Amino acid sequence: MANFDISQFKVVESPYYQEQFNEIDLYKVAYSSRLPVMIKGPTGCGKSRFIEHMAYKLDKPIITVSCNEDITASDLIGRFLLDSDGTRWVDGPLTIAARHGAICYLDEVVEARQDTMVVIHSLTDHRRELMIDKKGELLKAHPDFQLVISYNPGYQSLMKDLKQSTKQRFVALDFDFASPEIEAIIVSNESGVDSEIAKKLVQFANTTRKLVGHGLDEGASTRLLNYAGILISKGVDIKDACQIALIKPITDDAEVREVMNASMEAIFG
Amino acid sequence: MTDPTYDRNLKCAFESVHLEFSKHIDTARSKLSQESLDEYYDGVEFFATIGQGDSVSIAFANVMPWVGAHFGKNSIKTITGFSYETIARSPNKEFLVDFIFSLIEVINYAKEDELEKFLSLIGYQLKQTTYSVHGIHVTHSSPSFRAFLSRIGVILSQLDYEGIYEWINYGLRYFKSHPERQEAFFLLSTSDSRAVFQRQRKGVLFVDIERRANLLQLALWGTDFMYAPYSPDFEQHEHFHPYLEDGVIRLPDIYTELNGINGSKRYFALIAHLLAHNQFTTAIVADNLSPHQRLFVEVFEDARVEYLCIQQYPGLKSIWQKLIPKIGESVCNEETQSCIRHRASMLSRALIDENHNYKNVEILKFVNKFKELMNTGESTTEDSLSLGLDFLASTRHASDSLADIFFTDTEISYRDDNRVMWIFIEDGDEGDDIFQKKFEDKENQKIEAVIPPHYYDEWDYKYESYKPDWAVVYERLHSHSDATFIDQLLDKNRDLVKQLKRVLDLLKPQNKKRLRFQEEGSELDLDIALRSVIELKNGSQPDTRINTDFEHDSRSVSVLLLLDLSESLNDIVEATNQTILELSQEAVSLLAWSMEQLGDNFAIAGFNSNTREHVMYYHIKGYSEHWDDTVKARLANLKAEYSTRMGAAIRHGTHYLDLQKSDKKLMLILTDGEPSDVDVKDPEMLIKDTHKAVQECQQKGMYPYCISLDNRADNYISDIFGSHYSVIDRIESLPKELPQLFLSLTK
Repeated sequence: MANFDISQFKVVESPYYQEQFNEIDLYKVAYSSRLPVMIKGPTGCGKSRFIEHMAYKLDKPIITVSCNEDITASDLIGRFLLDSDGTRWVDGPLTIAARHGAICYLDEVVEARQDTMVVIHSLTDHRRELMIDKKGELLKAHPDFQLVISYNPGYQSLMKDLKQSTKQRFVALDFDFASPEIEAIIVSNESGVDSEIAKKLVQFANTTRKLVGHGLDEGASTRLLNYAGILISKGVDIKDACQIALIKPITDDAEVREVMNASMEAIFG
Repeated sequence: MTDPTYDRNLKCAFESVHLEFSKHIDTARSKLSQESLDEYYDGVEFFATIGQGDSVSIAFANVMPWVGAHFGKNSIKTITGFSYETIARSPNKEFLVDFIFSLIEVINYAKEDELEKFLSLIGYQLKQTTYSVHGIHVTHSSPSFRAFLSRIGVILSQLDYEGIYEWINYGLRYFKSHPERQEAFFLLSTSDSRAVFQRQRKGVLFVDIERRANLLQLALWGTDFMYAPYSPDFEQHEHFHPYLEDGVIRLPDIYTELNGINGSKRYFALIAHLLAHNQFTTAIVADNLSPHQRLFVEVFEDARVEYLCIQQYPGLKSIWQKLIPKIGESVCNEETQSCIRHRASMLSRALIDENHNYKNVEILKFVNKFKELMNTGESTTEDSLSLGLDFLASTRHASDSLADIFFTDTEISYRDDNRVMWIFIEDGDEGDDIFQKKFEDKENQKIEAVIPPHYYDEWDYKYESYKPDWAVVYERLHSHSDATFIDQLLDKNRDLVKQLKRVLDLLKPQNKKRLRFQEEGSELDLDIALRSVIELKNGSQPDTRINTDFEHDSRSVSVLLLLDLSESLNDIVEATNQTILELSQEAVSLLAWSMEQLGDNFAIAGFNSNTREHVMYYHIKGYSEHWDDTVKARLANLKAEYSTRMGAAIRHGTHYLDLQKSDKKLMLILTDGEPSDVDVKDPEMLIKDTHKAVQECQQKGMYPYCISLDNRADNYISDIFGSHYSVIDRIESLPKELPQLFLSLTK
């Protein structure tokens, strides 16, 4: 295990990120004290991009775990495997990050079962240690180690929420879609469409976001806007691009679609 | 045009006819062809000789120049013939004058080549409503013909001929033998008549697009104003305009296509215009302005808010442009008519459409001024005020105040009455309080009207069609009394409860669901385990999720228990000396208890009816409520009265059950007899209607099931429910059988 190469988890190229409020500085300060960070925000508003960007800025490796219902504690910590010589311990992503000093990013953390998440508790307070009971090891976290989690409060239900005891171990950054001006800059930068089209796309996305709770679970995300922009810059007709990137993915309700079509007609003329 | 030298003397004995004729002959000469003019003379002369005095001839002399000019060749002769043969020589001759006068309205709506069609329609209505006693003579005049004629304008303007016949036939079907109700029907004054009429109308009904309109408003403007549609045609405010006031948008209830813009887009254009005002208009004082000044200020203000709105939503421009009528520059003669509306209309178009092609210097000048203003990027309603006043000042013409105002094509249908932009400091008579008054009237009505009633169609098997909005269903929370009564009932059936409990316990764990791919579980999943061993031998990483586990699957069932609460439930069952109602209460308590034990989502409701105007639907337990004392108290207070209009109750129950989210939806209907009501004589009618309601329910994916306590039920029940029913012959066993039936249905 000594020859484990943590640098493979480093972010090589600078990911594009447009600051919305002073989240970059806030994050830097949190990192400097190794405070665990929780990032909330709707789907596709740039949570993962932000963490990637920060890892690049701080020049730290980042290990991302996409959480799902079936994830177990041993999926995070590690497990013994059998091989021809007997058993062999393999570290899980959380253990790797803690041992070698990386940022461990648990994406969509509410998807995992609440009792699974309890394993992170000892790493996220003053102890900064992880008990690997199967191995009988008490791992002291590397000084560079930091834990970051993200989730989308939008589709929070009674079934899916974090325990209070988990929540209260993090400082939280609340993300939302950027203001229309900034979002237009993001779309134009990411997809290469000119700023006029980007503005219109953002205007359209904002009309869909107003429908949340009235037939839509979530409005069109910045990520979808980028997709639409990419299609447009590749020569697809604007309205067709909106159809396949912004309208069809987010709803199956015929009436809502018709309304979105009408808004599209109004905005793009 | 006729030969000016043509000269014919009118041969008529009535002085009054000569007098009237002399007033109209010039018009007739200028409008009618030579042939028609002859027919006109003939007609006036003829009607003076049929023994009806001078009135028919006078009416004829009055309207025929226009009618003849509209329908053209031979039309006057045709009308003369029809009037005589069909009306004058029938018991309906008293209506002849009404008929002739009604033609003047008819020519506004009937096309030139539709005279024959129109006359046969009139003939049909007349013939069908004139009835004979004993079938020997047609002796009674039509009770509804005059009413029909009085509404002919609305009827022709709203419906095509096919629709009119449907509407007439409906009236004939149900009101042929009620002269007064027939008259009310053809006067369009009853809700039935209007409901049928509405269905025949062409166009987009607002109710059908209301949700879309709501969402669009929210998406584009972030507002949530309510909508209140009005019927301009029935309420006889034909020049009523839409408006937005006190958070309510008033708009017409139906839009047909106009200039290639379909009904729903027209609603969109209207709502967009109203909300543009809402966003950009600030009210200004109106008291010092004349109506003409206000007109032009409004034109500029409308253009201004639309311009601003188009900056945000450019797609609106083409819709609005198409809806503004294209008016020719020279269609209005300034010497003889007031062209004020014509100018306003041209200006409206020029302000929104760059390709207007108008040459009028003043219009071009003011369009430029308007553009300059808008290009500065900042404008207010005050700017519209000064533009409007200046425009009127520089285009004022002496003829502006003439009484003959040019009106054709000067109305822009999607624009509101601009009440938002004016403040009247002195209390004037400007306000429109018609709706206010209506609202107050409603408040004065009985408390019953607190929850608005629901209207349901009823199936008429004889004519294979629905009677629209026929049954009126009122819903109420059932009154309550003492919950302990129900507890006593349950206590009385202690043994049964125990027995049921055993069945329930058996039922519960049957719905086990196997969960595979578990790291920890109750059993080893051999397939996966073997695969993992193979992976191990290969030296690759094995899957450690080699166990299976079990989970209790929740039953996804929603149940509605619909109780017949009609009078007959008060009958006493001899075996137990209890009424059927009491037995039902026992049975329902047991069933509710069982369902609660199973954790099923269920509701209980009762119904009875006293004519179609009064179907009661009582909520006894809602889906979100638990089987607790409030619910028990309601169940304890059940009363049995009135009749059983089952179809309407099933439709209403279907509505609520449909809203439940579960895999299986079961509607249990507990009844002691066949559907019937005091206002229905044909026993088949409500049976067939209930059958239809059951079909509708099934089409929506629900499972209706009837439990009948009527031992004669075999005669009709399968006609209603197909095979989905049980008849309980020994009513006294109901408390035992009902829960068991439910359990076997949902196993």
